[in-house]
Amino acid sequence: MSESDALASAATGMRVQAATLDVIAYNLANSATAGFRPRHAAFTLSNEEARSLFNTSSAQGPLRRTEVPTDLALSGQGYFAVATADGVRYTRDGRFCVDPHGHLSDAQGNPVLGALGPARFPNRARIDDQGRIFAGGKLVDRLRIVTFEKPCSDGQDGLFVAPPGCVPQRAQAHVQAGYLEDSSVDAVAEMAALIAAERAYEANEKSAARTDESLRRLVTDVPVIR
Amino acid sequence: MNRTLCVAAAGMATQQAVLDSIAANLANVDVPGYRVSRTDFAALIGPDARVLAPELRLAHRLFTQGRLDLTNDPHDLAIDGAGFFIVVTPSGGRAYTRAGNFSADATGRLRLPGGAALEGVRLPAGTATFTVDERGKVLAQVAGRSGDVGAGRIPLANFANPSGLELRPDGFFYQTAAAGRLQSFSAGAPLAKIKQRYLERANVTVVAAMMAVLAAQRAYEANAKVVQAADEMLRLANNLERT
Repeated sequence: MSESDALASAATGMRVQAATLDVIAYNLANSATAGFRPRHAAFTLSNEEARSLFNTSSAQGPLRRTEVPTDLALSGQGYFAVATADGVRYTRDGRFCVDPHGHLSDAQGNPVLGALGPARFPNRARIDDQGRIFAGGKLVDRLRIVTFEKPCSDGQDGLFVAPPGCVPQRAQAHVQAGYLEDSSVDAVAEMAALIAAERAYEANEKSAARTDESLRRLVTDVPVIR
Repeated sequence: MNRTLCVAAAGMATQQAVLDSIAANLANVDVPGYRVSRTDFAALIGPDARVLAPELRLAHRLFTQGRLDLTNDPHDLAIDGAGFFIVVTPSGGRAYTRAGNFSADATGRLRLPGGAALEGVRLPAGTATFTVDERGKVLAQVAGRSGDVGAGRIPLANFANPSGLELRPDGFFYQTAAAGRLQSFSAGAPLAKIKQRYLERANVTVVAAMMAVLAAQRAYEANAKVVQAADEMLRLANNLERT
């Protein structure tokens, strides 16, 4: 491997570690956001070119009791469906509230979808573990909780977009009313990854410095020996 | 690397906002009828450091039941269940509150310390004592008259979305479009029980607030560590070119 190759490799390595730190920063910044799923970066090297792949983790976050009837958590795979201006989006964030028309809406104000359009949530209604909404003993609506064969991709505003060509299917996830799913970011793992990225960056920097040193020798010492 | 710094800074700002709202909750722990603001409505930070805050128009207050304390003062009223007392503020507006530390004035109105009068009640002149039943019916015992004298009924109100109510600096909730339709409740289908001689405390749980402080502090620290790491890596990059 020539010296310039070594320099390029070290630079690529530093770039990869910087991108890793970027993902760690994103995860740690959201370590207290309900329903948040951390991302993990994977890199493949081909022809000195680093290609990054971001995988959103599907690990279940811990459930925390809030005792608010409109706080919902999903245990198991699945998503709530919300209607946005750009179409149907999916989320695990169950911080819902009731809008002036008596429909459930998410924290951003998007309506949460039930069986037929926005889910109705009359006064003093309750939600069972199947996502059915009961008011005064009568079934009012059923939340649309779906899953896909392939993992969802990240869309705008922290909501997930259905993978292309996949039809949403009814999910088996249980709905826990009065609970919230906390962020599933593992702070310990992220801090360990942070240290690893920092040291790997340093190692690449050292290797670049060594290459620089041997290039300097080549330029200054070799003509002298002659 | 710059983006890393921006994301971490946004994360720190979010935790700072969470701490601010915990501080506001703890400061009001002794205010009767105070409704806690939710600290789990932290913003989502986008990968490009965009802050996607939950809709701030709604303050995301929690309308759970606060603790009921027996005070033995007949003027103290508490709501056991959902709903609000309807009061007329000194400026003449209609407002809603859970506070029940009333006292009677010379005209027989029940007023809160700020001067807002409870709707629906006027005690007759010479009232010695009065009782309020669970449904809000007020009966006064007047000196010189035998038997109870009706002194009105305390109405309660509720909204489709109480979180949409606007909390003004005077401590009262005001109706907004986001709160939805006002639902008044008649004596036949009561919304909640009214308890006389009780006061409802703020629904702040001190232990939960302290736990939230710890969590926010540690999350802030984690973001600070990211800033440190990014800084260190930038330093290393600058060291590449030696003079």
